[in-house]
Amino acid sequence: MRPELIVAEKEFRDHLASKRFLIIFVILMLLSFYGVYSGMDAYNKKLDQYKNPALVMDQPYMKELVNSLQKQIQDAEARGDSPESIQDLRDQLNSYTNPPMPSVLEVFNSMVIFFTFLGMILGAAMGFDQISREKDEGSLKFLVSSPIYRDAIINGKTIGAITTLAVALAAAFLLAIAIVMLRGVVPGLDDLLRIAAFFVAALLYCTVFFAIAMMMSAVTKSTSLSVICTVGLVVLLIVFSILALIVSGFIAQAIIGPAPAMDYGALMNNSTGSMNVSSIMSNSEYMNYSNKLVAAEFQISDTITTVSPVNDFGGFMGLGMGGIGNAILSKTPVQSLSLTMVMTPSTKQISLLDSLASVWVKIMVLIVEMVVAFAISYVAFMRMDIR
Amino acid sequence: MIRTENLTKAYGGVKAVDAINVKIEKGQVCGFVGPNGAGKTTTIGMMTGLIEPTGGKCFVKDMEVSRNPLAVKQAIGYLPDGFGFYSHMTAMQNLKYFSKFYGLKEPEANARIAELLGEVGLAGVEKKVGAYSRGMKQRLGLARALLNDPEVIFLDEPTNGLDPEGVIQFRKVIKAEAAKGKTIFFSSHVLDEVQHVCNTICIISKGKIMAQGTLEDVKKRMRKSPRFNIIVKVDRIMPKLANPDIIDAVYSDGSATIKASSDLRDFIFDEVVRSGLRMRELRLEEESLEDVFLETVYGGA
Repeated sequence: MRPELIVAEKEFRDHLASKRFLIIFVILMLLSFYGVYSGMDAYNKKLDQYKNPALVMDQPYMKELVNSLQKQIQDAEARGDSPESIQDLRDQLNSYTNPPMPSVLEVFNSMVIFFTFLGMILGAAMGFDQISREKDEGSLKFLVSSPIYRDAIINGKTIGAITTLAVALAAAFLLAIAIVMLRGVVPGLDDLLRIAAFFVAALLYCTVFFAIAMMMSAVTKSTSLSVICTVGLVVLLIVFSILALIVSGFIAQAIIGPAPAMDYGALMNNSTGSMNVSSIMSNSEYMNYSNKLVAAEFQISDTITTVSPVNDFGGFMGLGMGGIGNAILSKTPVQSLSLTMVMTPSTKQISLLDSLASVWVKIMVLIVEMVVAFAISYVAFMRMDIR
Repeated sequence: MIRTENLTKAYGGVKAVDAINVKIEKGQVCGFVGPNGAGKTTTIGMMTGLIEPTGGKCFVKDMEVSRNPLAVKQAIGYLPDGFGFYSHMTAMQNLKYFSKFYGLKEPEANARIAELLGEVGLAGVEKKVGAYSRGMKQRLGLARALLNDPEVIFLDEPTNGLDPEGVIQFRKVIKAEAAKGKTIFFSSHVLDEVQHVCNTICIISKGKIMAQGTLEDVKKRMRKSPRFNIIVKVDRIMPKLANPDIIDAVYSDGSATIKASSDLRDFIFDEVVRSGLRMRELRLEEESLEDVFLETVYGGA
């Protein structure tokens, strides 16, 4: 057997038997179960609404929304706005009046948030002591004095960890598919392809954190220092995402300019004391400004946070919107945010390749980050004096 | 079998090992002694391919270690200082894992491991290595070093943590390996241990080799001025002796230990007889390795 496979086999067994892995794995399975189960309820509700549109369209807020959109279209036509912006509004209206049949992928969409946070913890937890633990315990001396190249050791450790991650993720995915099928929904070929692509993306995402944690393990002198650095980096990424949002708000404001003058007193509903949403939405100048501002802010924030694997996979603040996971599991284009801070549905269907193309930069960033982290681990381990 | 040419290792500009030239012939058991921080572990690390030298070369079986690391590692056995095992595995599982890297087939590996565990007194111990005492781990370490039946064995402080029984067992194993013609290079702080096991010695201090060769050679070469330890025992109180060659003398009731720059046994005999005493013992004590070591490293301090 090749030396890297000997190391990988041992690492795989060790991971599967480790309490740390088992605890995270159990949490992952429970959250997957919860996510899919609740996702199935939401899916069934949407299916009912699709079969019986009157259930939704008779709701007062929906009537108000549709009326507002119709008015916006009329105003836009009257102003002579560009055909694209008018078509966008029409698409929005169409998505409410003729919603597409819900996809089973929406069930998996609910898992993106869990995978974003648990995948990060799982990958980091498996990597932070890969080298340093053996260094601390002294077993690295025996391992390195064995007739194998050092790269075989690091390759073996990586293969073992990625295999373990793949098994953990596959178990969560199979559980999800099993629940979906038990509830009477059979995914189509495109759905299965997207689920498979999502699995690969989730594995890549976990591997990025594994690689970063392993890099910490190789460059630091002890496991405790490696833990501090790994946790520090994760916290830094979260703080960075929040800061990026604040900074992008200022930048967007500077680019778009000040808000149009508006009578804020008229916006208040005197009887309830709350904001009068229809009044805001009917103010097309303010709506245009707000949509532009939020879209710019989101775009800038998205660009800045591309360096963060959490944002790349999990989207905006790791909450799913605009990330790789969301793009793969959506048969419609990745959407921008509107004033109401909810996703504006689109009826336009795109292929899996188009979905992947829409987030190719983020995929590339994940791959580059993984490769760089592995390269640093390699160099540090190769040059390491084992004393 | 083991040869270094100006082998050097520097950390941050400070030379831990400074251009050392060591030569160990096939079948020799060489004791590598030196004070703490002298560069023993770093030297062994470079000889076994664990540490990259800053300069110079190191050869094992005429193969340069940095150019043929796998072939060298295949030929050597190494018991490092401060080593560890996988604590969640048994001794058998640990050794089986390492045996795979040497390409040992399973039945062959099982037989070899059983034999080694028997030799080091760990046969039948089924508990996880995490529950082992330090001495047990040291014995297992020795078994690991001998796993591939190596031609050249490097041992770094091998008797650390061993109880007297373990030390005796260790000597037995080393002597058995030496009898098979294996070349053994081991560092130790225990000079008595080195004297018991080794036929050659290499003294290192501040990264430089101070002396190397057989024990007798080293003693002769390192003796800056002749020194004689003479033990005298008489039937009554030992009289004080006066001679310009006496360097130091310790008297007790009926005996004395004289350190002198010449062999004063005739002079002492005459003095004792002249004092009307009867001589019970008069002998020249061989210079110990400890004396040689202290003389070499600390200038006799």
